[in-house]
Amino acid sequence: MSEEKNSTTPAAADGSGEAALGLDIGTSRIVLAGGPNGHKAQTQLNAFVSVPYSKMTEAILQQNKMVYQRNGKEMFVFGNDSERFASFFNAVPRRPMQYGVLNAQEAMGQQIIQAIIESMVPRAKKNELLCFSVPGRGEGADSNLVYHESILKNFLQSLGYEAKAINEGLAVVFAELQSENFTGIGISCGGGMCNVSVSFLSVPMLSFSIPKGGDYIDYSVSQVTDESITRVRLAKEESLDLSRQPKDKIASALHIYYDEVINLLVEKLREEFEATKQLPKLERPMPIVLSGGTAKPRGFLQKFEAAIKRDGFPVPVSEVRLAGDPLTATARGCYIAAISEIR
Amino acid sequence: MAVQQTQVTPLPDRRKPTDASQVYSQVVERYARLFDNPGARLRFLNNTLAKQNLRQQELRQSLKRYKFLENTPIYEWIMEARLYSSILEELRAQSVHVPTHQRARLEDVDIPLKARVVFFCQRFRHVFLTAGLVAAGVLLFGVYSLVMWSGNKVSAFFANKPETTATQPTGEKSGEPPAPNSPTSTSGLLNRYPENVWLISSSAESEEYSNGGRILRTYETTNRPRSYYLIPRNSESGGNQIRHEPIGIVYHTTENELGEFTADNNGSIQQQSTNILSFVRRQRSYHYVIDRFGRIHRMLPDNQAGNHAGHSIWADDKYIYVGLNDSFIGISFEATVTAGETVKMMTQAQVFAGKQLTDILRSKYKFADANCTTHGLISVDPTTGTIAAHYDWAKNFPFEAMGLSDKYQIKPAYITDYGFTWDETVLAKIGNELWPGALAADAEFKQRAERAHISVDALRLKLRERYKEQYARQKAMQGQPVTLH
Repeated sequence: MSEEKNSTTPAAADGSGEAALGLDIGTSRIVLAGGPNGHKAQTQLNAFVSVPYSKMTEAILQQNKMVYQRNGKEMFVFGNDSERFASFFNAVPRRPMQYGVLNAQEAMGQQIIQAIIESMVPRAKKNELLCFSVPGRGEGADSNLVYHESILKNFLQSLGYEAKAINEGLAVVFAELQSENFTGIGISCGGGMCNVSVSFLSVPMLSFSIPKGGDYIDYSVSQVTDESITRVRLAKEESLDLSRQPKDKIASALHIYYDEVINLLVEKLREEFEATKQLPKLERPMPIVLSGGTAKPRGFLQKFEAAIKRDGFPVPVSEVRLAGDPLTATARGCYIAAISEIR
Repeated sequence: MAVQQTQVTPLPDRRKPTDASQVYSQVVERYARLFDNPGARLRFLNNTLAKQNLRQQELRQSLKRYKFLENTPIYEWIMEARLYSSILEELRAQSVHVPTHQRARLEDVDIPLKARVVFFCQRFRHVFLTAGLVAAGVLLFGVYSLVMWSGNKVSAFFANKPETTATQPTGEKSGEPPAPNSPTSTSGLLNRYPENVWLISSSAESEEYSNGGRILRTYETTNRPRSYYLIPRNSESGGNQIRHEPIGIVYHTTENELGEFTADNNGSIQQQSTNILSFVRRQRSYHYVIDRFGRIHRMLPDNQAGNHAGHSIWADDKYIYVGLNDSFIGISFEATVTAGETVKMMTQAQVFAGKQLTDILRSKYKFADANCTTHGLISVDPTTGTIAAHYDWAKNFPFEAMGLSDKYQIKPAYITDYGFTWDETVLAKIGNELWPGALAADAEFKQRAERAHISVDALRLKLRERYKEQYARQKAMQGQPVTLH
């Protein structure tokens, strides 16, 4: 396999931060956090496009300085360039991951994800710590989780890191709930799934996931509106406001599926709270922090709050808020976890 | 890593939360707020809670059998103290990551005294452990010493028991000062007691004892029963109490002809032993003879008198014994004392056998160490008023090898109580050098005369007469004629 990469400057490679990194390996994005306080973040789409090899295509890729890999008669464009390339050739980007874990139906998925990570994460100098996010247990994901975590851990260790997996929801708590001494509920609404973690003084009391996220919404809306996923995604990212009445068919469908995901998430939260016996007696209301790309659209927070209030909630909630930067919160949480492990 | 500039808020009211772990959480949370950096705060929380959890488990495990203690205030007290101790440990550990100017705040936080004590104990536990072990060692040694000391005291008490049954004399003739209580006192000296020795088998030929001692009876004969007065010390009285059991041991030498102790001279050595044993049997002199091969021969039964001491005086703390044939057992080593030479008189086998026999007799009759002496230290010549009439073992008797105290250090009663002295002849016999006890006794006697305002010679004469009377009385009891020597 011959390969060519664009040169990126990894967050911790500049020597400005402590020798630790946080890596959010999400279904739709991979985010690396490093540098002082983990605020130096770098993002790559967790997607790729494959095209048959030809000298002309390769020349176009090189002229546009796109990151690609050639594998025999195929070429793979991955990361952020995959989106540009897809729109250029009117192709649909493929995902190395599905529902938060490695996509078994993509033969090249594992290699692509490793290539994306390698393009972001520099080789470790002396066994530095790297915490990476993994989804929580959930419907149909439990057995895949072990495989997913092991593959990524081994790969990161091969880069010279001491790799440690952190629950995605817990990472959100670490990133956003420092003032509450890491006590509260962290929710990461990603592309493949939504991850939830209830933490008490940094100790996870309850963690789970639901296998529905942004991709499910996009796909469902695309199906019912007969629009391409790319167009649905574009509409979602550019003009969706869940706090207002929908103006078109796509917006209406997006409202419907967002409601479904939010209701499912809140309902699952209620169920889990009621089923668990592990929770300590809480003396004060807990905050809820929402993060992830799916939580970004305007009005998502209000819808979630309304769902919480509608039928009551098993524990008192002090506030529901959106993470400062929803796209990097998980990575920053992983970074804080890594820093806390350094003695 | 930055540290918040806020003070730690007061501790939570312990009465409000129902769960102790909630209290602990509140405490940890308050200290966590000292850390502004999220990584440092997370590290502090994780480490402190993990430590507290571990310590709680350890405490529960160690109190597994005493579960009721978990509901007592002392358990809560320990847990809380250990929590603060964990917090202190973690604050100190983390302070190295903090800029120097902020470090003091972490090391100087408001922590209860009990927690600081627990932390201090935990930190210096190895020092405390070592000190504790040393103290325990010293204590054990002290207890051991006390037990040994008590044991010795008890042994001494039982050893002296026969003597303590007698009354302590107090009378003193007017104008004559009482003899000091100490001349022959054994107080403060060794009063060792042998291990318990018992007879394990007996036949007409021999007796065997538990210490390996074997007494041959081939030459055993009979004499007459013992009978003697216990003369109270420091008293004019000659004593009315009569005793029939032996009170001690006098060691002798046989003074027979001895050949060179070598293997090629074996036959001659045995013949000489046979000759002396036969002689002793005829004379009924000693109770035991230990020949040069270390064989112990009984010549007379212990309850009978022997003709081994004649004119002699010995005393312990309470009584004086005059004419020791009836009161003491005579043990004679087959050996010869050349005038002026008192060393190398015994074989190793004799020394060993002497110790065995001494232990057998002391164990059997509970003889006090004070009453185990030598012929040279008891023998007097009443006609000349001199000591060491017979000078066997007047020097160099191996008291220590016999398990006895050194009687050469003791002021002998024949000088202190009766004024016997020495002349050139005596000195020549014992190598022109008196033993320390004799010199001290003589000095004491002279002081006694001075205190009584009487000349030394006059006091000697007076006391010698007293001896003669007591000796005659002793002989009369046995129906024997009195001879001066």
